[in-house]
Amino acid sequence: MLVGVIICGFLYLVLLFLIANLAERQKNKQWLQHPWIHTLGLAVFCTTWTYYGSVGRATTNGIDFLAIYLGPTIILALGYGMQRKIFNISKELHITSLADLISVRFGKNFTLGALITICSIIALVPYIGLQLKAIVSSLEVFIQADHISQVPSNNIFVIIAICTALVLCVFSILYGARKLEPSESHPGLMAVIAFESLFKLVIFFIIGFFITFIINDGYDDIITKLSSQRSISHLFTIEESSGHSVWIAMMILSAFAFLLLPRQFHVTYIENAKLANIKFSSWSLPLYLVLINLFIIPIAFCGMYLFNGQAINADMYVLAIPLELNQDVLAILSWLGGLSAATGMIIIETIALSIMVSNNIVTPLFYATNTAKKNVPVSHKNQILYIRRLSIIGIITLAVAYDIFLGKQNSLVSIGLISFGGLVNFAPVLLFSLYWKNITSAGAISGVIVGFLVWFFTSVIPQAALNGFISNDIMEYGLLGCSILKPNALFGLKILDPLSHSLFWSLFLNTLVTVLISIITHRTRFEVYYAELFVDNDRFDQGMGYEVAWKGSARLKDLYALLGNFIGTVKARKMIQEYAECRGISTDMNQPAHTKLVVFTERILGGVIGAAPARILMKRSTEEEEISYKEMYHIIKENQSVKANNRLLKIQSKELKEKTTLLKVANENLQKADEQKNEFLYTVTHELKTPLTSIIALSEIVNDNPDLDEEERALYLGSVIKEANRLSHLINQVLKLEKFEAGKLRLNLQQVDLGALIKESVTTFEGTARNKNLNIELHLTNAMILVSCDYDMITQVLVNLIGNAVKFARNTIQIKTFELPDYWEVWVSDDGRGIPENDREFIFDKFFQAKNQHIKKPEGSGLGLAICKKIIDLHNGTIRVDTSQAAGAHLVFTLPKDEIDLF
Amino acid sequence: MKKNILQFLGILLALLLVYPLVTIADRQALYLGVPVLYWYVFGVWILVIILAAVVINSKRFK
Repeated sequence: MLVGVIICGFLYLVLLFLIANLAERQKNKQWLQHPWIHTLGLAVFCTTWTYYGSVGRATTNGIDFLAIYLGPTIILALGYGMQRKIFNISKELHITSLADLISVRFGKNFTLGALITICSIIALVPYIGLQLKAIVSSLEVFIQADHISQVPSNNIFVIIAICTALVLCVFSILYGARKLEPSESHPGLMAVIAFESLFKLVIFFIIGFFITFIINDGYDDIITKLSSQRSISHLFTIEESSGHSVWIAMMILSAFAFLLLPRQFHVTYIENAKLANIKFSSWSLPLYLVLINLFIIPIAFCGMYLFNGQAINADMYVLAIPLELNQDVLAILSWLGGLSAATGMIIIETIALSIMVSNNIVTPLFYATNTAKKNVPVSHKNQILYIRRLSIIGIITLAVAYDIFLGKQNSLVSIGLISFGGLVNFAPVLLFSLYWKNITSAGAISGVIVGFLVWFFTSVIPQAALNGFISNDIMEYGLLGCSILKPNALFGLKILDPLSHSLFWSLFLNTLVTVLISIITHRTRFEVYYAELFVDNDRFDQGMGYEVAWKGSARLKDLYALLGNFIGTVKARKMIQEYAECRGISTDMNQPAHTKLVVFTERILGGVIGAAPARILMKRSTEEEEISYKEMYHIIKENQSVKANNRLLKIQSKELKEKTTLLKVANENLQKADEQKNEFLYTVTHELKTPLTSIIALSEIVNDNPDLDEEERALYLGSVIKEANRLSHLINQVLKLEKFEAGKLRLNLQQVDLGALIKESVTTFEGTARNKNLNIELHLTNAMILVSCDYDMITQVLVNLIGNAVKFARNTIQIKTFELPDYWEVWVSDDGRGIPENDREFIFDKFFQAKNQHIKKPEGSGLGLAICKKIIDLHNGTIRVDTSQAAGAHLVFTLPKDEIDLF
Repeated sequence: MKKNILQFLGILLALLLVYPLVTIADRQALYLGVPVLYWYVFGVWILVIILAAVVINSKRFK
């Protein structure tokens, strides 16, 4: 079976090559920037530590392994602002790694970049070695299962480890260091990482589901079974398993490590091109983490139950359980899942570290020692590629060596936590870089060194003593026999567990030294410049451009040649010219190059070979002059004022926009009102003209015919009076309406019985109704309907509505009241011809009647309903035409029950 | 605004999961056969993730 497993492993590695190749060949690489691909890329955080180690950890410490995933969840939410900042800076300045970022922050400081790289390697090589070890020791489980009496010698495992390392080396070189690019983007690599993350999740989920729900009856069943076998209640709480200090320390460690791990940094800021992806990952990655952790406890508990008392490494339960149950296919799948977790981490961590090594140590050293003639750029493209490839080989070799010679008995989690502890020492310098302008390079360097030494002393030494590499004396008696220098109780601090003890001392002393040295030393000119750029980054308007800190003279030709050496002349020329065009900078070959172009070239070059080497090369290719402190402060001041102006301009233009919109609306309203006024005037005069014409005509008849008989004269004069009355009524109505519109009318509110009011209004029409043979029916719900309203006005509304109803009704008029929660509703209905659907909207408009010629003979002024609407509006009520009834016209108005509190 | 809500959620998650608040659930009791602490940690975790997802994907916060 072991052979079968190894063949499967080999085939899996071949599959990785195929996927990477396919991804590299894709023309359209847009899918690489999909948020889920980014999330799966970030999921490389879950290594064999998660896959195997968490299960082992859970058997002794309950759920404290979860702290490793809660930390990133917290930092993804809490640190979103910081991540955004790092992302923007990285893209603007073409950063290639964390070491590069810190180095640029301190004026392209070589020492800091190199220091961070070396510390990263010391902290991470064991971690990479651990992944190799996990691949190998997982194979041992299959040997136990095969019951081979003759256990194969150790050499076989060494060979397997070396072979795996070799394959991964080739892969990393092929897809991580094939060519030099202005942006470190590796489609093949990212495709493989995403695939592996998905693969390990799916496999782990299947295994977990199988163990939890197929061979057991869920979570509770496993816990019940195990509890009946032995006492496990200490695993149910943090207090009694690992303790609160370990729980918190692990959370802090993982949160910072998530930010600082080279592989995480690489995926988040270097491969990723979209800020939105970072935002997306703040919930999508935690979701992934929840899913992969869901079944760790049941697997661990099930293993404890199945292998009670047997000498089986708890880390390997994921494999051992399917093997024990003779589920060979599942076991092999599970092993492949572990392989994917290991290879994904090894590949990307190695590539990220190799970029750091080549850009921050080897290449700067190469250029510093290479005394090429000034002004003659020589192409070192191949050398740089070799440097990077050799770095990959070197790192993997170191990891294999660690695995073979040192990494023997340790659990996955303990070594992983030590690695994290080392990396956390970059946290103070990173945070200060982003938020504190006064940090100096001396402060940063001494802080990192002190923190790292403390970490080494309090974390690595105890582990070495535990494994017997050094004598245990140092643990018992302290360094050089000095009792206050015990690795687990530094300066006599005994109350903390080893993990939080180490974390506390290294972070505390690191921060202390950084701040202290920064206070007593001075910043160089470039540190001052980059401090502005980093700390105030979110206030810079991207693309607005700022004053650059460069002085001297350069020829455009040299810039093309310099950049062209690394990315090809055509591409280099295109990039520089596009940049110049965007900013309106001249690219005249005869004139000296603009300083902005010089700085741009240096940045792009920094993205290819690292900031520090780019600095050296730029110095060589141009006639650079030293910038004095005074000049530097001038540049910074200039930038600050540009920044302030931009902000002010933005605010002002926003205000202006708002005001313009307001004005526009006001203007539209004004125009509308003007139109309405004109129309109103037109209709009023038209309305006045009709009766006036008949008055004139009738008066003329009477005047011109003195011999008219008495009866005829009385008839004409009667008509004149009638028309004059109509005229007067009309004018009154218009005046009233105008009063409403001008807001001059005040309500005279009083408690009124609406029922009595309706009855009274109806009496006015009784005569007319009897004449027209109409029946007026009242349906009043309540005996007493108390409403607070203006008596006269509501009477007028009712009179208008009933008057209309009387005009149009055939047989009956109905007046009904209803009580609603907040309103009284009054219905005035008739059984006449009703109101045409098209007109319903307009009947409350002034002179609607006059405007509509299909009503042949106008009766009334056409202002009645308009006045009704005004009155009801003043009462905070509504008036409408009800459309739910089939025949007749139904006018409905409401009056609020509450006191109207208007005036 | 989204940034601030996210930061708030991060702090909330951190506070809910460490001493002293976590001790509320840090008991040797079982609920439906599973330790209360496990329910609590996973519950709080998933809840915060859901809230973060809602905040990020909602169009109401800019």
